[in-house]
Amino acid sequence: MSEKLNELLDSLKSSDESERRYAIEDLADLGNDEAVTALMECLRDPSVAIREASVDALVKLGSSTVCEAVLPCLGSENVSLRNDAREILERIGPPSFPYLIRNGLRSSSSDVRKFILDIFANIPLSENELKTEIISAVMERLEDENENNRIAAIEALGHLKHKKVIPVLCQYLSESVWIQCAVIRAIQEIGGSEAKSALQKIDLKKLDPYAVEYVGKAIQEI
Amino acid sequence: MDKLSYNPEESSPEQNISPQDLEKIRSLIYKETGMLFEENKNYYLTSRIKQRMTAVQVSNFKDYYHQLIFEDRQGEIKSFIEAITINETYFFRDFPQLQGFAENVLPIYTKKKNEKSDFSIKLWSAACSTGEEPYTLSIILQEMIENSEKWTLRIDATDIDRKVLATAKDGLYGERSMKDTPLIYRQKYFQETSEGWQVNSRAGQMIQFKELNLIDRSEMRKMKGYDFVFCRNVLIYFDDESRKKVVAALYDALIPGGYLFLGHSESVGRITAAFTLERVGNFLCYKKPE
Repeated sequence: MSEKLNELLDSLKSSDESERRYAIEDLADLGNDEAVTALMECLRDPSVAIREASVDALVKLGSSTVCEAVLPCLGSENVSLRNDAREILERIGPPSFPYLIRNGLRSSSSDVRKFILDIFANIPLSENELKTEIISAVMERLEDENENNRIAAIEALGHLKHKKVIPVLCQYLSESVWIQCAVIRAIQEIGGSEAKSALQKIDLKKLDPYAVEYVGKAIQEI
Repeated sequence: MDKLSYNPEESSPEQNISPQDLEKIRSLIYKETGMLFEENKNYYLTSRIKQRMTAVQVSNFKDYYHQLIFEDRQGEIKSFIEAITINETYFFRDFPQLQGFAENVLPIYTKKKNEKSDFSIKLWSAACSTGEEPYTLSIILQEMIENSEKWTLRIDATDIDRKVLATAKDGLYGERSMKDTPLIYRQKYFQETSEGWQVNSRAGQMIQFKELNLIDRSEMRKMKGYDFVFCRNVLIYFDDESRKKVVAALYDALIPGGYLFLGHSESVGRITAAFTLERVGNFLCYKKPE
């Protein structure tokens, strides 16, 4: 461990809030993953300013070590930590996706899976180089044991706008009214003639009356 | 003295500007300059429109807009764009905010310090431009702190622009800068000369001017221990990333319990949750947690 790194890690123990923040900023500049554990600890600091600086620093490091350390925090009972974890992974963006696909979407924690599906439902499409891998991984979550996660997966697929998932989504129209509505909204978001055609072919008699209204609106708005 | 004097003649006329009017102006500015004034700049934009309406002696927006578009297109468009881009400053600018600082924040703050036998106040006017703000703050401290001569008062006034700092150090101002300066303070802190109004030593004694770039991290880290930081109408010129860095540095410059004052159209809401928001009269200020 370098002398500079040691010095900065020592500064994280300072009682002076500003000194701690300077150390966090400098650790981010140093770009050494050996600081990740200490920076993760700073996410539990009582000072908001320190926590915010730590989020920025971990985003700047943006390595797989950071993703690995941050991911379990998505399931934390500490709301601030959970939100910070989500922000870090979202801001790291595409470099975190392989890790999120491999580990996050298969996490044993339902909360972790939900947050990751939400991240995929918000990623900028232009940055999405791993679209095929993401879509496959998200599609697996259509069978998630938790209904909220199944809905989140449907929403993410709508956001990803991949026309080939339309027939798959239609298979879930026999499930609960919430799933039916999510499917209709997702198909609408995908848009285009294929989406419109799929919506027009839906057997409305098999849908909940509430979902039927959604179909009409979706067809009009495409 | 427990009330800050003000100049009643400076109250602006009632010129109503609707959200639709602002939308028209926003489109016009974008078309003319490429600058995008978002809705969070409504206050700033409204104040600038009113300023120009007063200058060209037009009492309602419809007439002013007509003048902008049809009557004096090149002349008034240019003046309007200058009004929204030039960081104009003058003594006692944004008087209600200064009044809140002087009459609400300062008495409570100095009382607390008094109880700890701490008789020092350190204030930073970040981006002080030609100096009107730090001299105004100097006057306020001297007028509003009881037995101010017992206190160690210091104002650091910084700006990135060496030319404006030179003007600030000279302390010589025209009538335009003085327009909101109450007579009582003109007499006490200025001397009228053939060249303009000269700040006297009483107003300038506690001020130190210094060149500083607000996004220079190493220099910003030297700015520490301030009770109050005034950084008004500056953040609007930065992009999100720089704004975040500047606000973080201003936070670090304050002592716990210290206050940050921003311009009316500015907020740190989207940048950081580290400050505690305090309402003082009709304005908001940001307090560093104790």
